[in-house]
Amino acid sequence: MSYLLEFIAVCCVFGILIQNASFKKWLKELSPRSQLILVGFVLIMTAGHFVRSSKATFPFVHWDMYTKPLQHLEMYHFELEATLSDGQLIELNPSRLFPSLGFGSLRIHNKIHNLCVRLETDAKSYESDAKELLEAIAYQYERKHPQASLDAVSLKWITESLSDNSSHSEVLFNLNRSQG
Amino acid sequence: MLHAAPSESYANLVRITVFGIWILKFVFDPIQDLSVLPLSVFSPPFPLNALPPQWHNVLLSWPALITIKCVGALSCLACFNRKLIPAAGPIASLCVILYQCLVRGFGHVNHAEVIALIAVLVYTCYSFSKSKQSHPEPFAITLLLCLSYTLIGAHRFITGGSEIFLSDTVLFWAENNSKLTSYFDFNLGTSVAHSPFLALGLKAGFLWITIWEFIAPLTLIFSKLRIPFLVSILGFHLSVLLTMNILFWENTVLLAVLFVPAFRKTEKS
Repeated sequence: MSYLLEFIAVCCVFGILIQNASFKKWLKELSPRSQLILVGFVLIMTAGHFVRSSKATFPFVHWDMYTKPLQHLEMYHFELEATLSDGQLIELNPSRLFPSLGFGSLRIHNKIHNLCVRLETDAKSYESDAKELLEAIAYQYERKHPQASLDAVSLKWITESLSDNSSHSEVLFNLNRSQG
Repeated sequence: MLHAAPSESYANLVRITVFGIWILKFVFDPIQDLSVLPLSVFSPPFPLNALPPQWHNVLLSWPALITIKCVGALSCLACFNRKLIPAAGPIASLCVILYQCLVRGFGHVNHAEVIALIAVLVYTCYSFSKSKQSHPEPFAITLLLCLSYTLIGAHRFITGGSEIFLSDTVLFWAENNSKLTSYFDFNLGTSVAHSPFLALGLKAGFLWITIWEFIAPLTLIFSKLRIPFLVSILGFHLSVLLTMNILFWENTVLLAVLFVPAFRKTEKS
């Protein structure tokens, strides 16, 4: 039902545009092939949205942004804490280490966040993924800071409750790089 | 109607903007660093997910990523010249799609560059078509940009319902995103969520912007809507950056070039 309502809503806005005399005139001046291109892009983009599977229809994606109402009163986020060879503790920022996945977006953040959710429920199955990803992040840090050497990286999962302002932190995975 | 008869110089400006966005990305985005990431966490979208995993291994190698960067930047540069788009456009489109699939393979399918990507496809497709209307691309890109906003607005109104606007959902997102480890560090979301005045402004602004998103295509035919639309949408992108650390610079640049009257001065009446 929501599909239909949404489709009708989109059609209403586009109906006003299509009825406009200057738009009709402009469209008529296009060659049939040019008209087809324009209509084709509009239809494919709309279809991609209603299929609701951005991975399957990329780049004609599902335009779902800030849509779901609040369902829980907990905030979850991760922290990557690394230990340098001199014992100093630092926080790693994967979005800055991989700007392709972090400049203005939350790509690598969401990848690690999803991994945390999986580790919490099924640690055994996702241990090797966590190990490889944390190793790559540590390696990238050392590439960008040639003087530094990381002995260990901890993936921490932090839960903050909005109802009583309490906070809980647990280590989901530890990467120990100092052994061999 | 907006962009009904763009002048040659304005059409050039829009084309250079679209391909210029991608040149900047190819030149300054260190995608070659993706080669250090493990394949086990790589999950690309279509069309890359249709290729066998061995191909992913090849595409994520340092030489392949550097090749995509160089060929992508050069083919986009060639597209600055309209006459070269039939030859360079398909190559630019392929490089842009590959690049965007690769970065999304290590994350989620976000929306930031999607319209800029579709704009490249629009130029490529139109380069094989001739019509009396000599420059249909600026209108087509503006229409598709507006369509994206309409789809966002309609989906939010229908799926989110009144609850999404009346509850503290937007404040939660602002505060939550401020706490995430992200590239930018503005982190104003927590301050906004805890200030009664700013929180009310954010909630009211959320409804306001959704209305503008929904009616975006009407700005093509009603000139009086354009400036309020532009100010609202740009304000929204700025507030998302400051409160949630998410940047939509590609859309911001496209909106400026397509809607700011000063850029369209050369448009025929």
